[in-house]
Amino acid sequence: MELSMQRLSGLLKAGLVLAAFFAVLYAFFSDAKLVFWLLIVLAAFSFFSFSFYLLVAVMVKEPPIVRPKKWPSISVIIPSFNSAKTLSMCLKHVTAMKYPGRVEYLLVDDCSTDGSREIATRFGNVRVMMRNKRGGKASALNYGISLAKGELLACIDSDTYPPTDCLEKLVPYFNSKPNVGAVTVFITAAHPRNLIEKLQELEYYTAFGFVAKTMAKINCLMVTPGPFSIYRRDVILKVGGFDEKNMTEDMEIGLRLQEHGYRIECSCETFVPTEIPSTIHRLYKQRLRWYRGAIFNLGKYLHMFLNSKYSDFGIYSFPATTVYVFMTMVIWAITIFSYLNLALQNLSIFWAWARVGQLPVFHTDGILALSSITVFFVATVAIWWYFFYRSIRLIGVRLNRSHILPALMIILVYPVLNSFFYFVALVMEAKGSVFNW
Amino acid sequence: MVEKKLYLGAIAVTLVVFGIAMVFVRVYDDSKLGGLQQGVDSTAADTDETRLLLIYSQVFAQKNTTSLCKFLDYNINRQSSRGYYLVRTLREQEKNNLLANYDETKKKYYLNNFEIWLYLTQAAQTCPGYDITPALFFTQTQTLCADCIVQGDVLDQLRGECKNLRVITLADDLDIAPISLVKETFGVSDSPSLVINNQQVLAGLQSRESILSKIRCERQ
Repeated sequence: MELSMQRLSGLLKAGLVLAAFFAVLYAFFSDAKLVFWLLIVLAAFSFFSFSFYLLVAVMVKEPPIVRPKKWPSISVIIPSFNSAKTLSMCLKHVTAMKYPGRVEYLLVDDCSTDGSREIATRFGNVRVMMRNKRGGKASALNYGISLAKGELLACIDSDTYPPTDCLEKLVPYFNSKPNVGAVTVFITAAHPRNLIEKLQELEYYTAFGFVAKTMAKINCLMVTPGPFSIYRRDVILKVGGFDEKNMTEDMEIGLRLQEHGYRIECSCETFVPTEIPSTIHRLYKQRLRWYRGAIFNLGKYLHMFLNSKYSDFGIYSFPATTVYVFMTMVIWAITIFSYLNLALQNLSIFWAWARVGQLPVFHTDGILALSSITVFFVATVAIWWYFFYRSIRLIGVRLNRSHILPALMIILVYPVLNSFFYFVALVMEAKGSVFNW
Repeated sequence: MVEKKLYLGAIAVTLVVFGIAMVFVRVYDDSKLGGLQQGVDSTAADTDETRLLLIYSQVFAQKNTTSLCKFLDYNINRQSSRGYYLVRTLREQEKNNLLANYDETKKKYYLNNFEIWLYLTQAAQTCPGYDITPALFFTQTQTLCADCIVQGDVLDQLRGECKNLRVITLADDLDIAPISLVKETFGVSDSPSLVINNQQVLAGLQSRESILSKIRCERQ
């Protein structure tokens, strides 16, 4: 098989990234104490973030949300591609949303082949627009925007099921502070059943709940979640619409709004369930897209890093996210190295026993020796649990016994899995691989 | 932009929490080290007893050598039997430690072991019929040495089987002058290494059978 120059170059770049990353970590890992101190520095960064969120949550007061006297018109835009399984339920929920002002519903079908457009046409109040050529979600959104007449644009995924009070609860946020360009909402997992789905359910509670709400208070949000976000139409047109070449157009538009000085608000007065990956393979594909998009977009908007021109977003949120991305990969690499090293150590001990012709002897006196680093791990877990508690209190969710195992795994296993996805995303981005939807 | 006091507050909270965590870690590490130091001190106290017994034998030469040798043997055996457990504990604790400094304790422990070996050798010269087989065991303490770990366990098993075997563990990789001198004297350059009966040097990992073929083992 011939390798093209481009592919060779991509492989070479990926190889260099991998080699550099592991070389740096090996330099650290060869001294266990240095690894300890690196983990403590990263833990310190996490603590700082947690403390900052908590202080913002307690000390920054929000202005009261006032219902507008005149409700702006809204265009609800739903991009759809082969969403026959979820579209009917989505449209039922969307068309059932109550709103005192004018609403139009636009479904942009991106060349579906599974009967989605036929499902959409059954909803008489939904205007179905068919594209001639498949262009992707961002392109479909831009097409919908070009035809939309509303002052506000509610962009909703075709596998999302907003509650009836969603628009009424979110629209007032546009007048809550000056320069609001977009309003987001608490996204939750729709009917989680298996372990993978329940893990994501818990993850969404923290990420889209307390943390998002707190960050919105100081205008530090960088993503307008794809499942459900509302934008000012004039703002979207002014900033140039969605980036059609971007893997995560929802993050890219969020960054662009911040770059142009607009606020992104977040409402947790209601929550919007959306479908989530039900298998590990689908989760992997989703996260690979998210994290590749994140790495790409962070690079694209690197000029905002520690830039006071962008206020708290530039000084804190953007750098913190960049550090977090780096941190997850380092922690994953350290964890993998630790397990590999432990396995190698035990293998070499077993091999030594084999060479002397005896069965290995196991000593139990060291088993309960607690590493000092456990203190920081316990503290970090405790704080995460507090964030989780505040998040589920925000929407009044009740957990049950089925959440016990996911709750344990989300602390011990899920972060390692996510870190692995980040690492793969970094390698893929470095290699310049084409993303296969 | 939010007030600077929020950022400063977050930094202050982080420093306070980390300060408390570090204090806790320090106390925890020190308590573990303290427990180990007690074991080392206890062994050192036994060594003091042995030293005093030998001084006694010099001051009151030729009197009660049977009793003296009985006490000497009992003391040396007690010290060397405790020795390997302390080696393992030192290794495990140092691995899981963050702030406490183990260097002084390690140095004290291995110097103490060296002293036990000297008294063992002197006891063999002083006590007629004192038929003990000393085995100097050189091991690594700063890095993981799988062969050293296994060798230590094999020797510990043999010590339990052969009542005349005394295993003295010495660190191969600490800068301790007397131990460096012994290494040079016996030509020890690798670890694990054994010096049997202050004569025969066995380099590398040795099986139980290999060691038994080089020593006289008096079964328990």
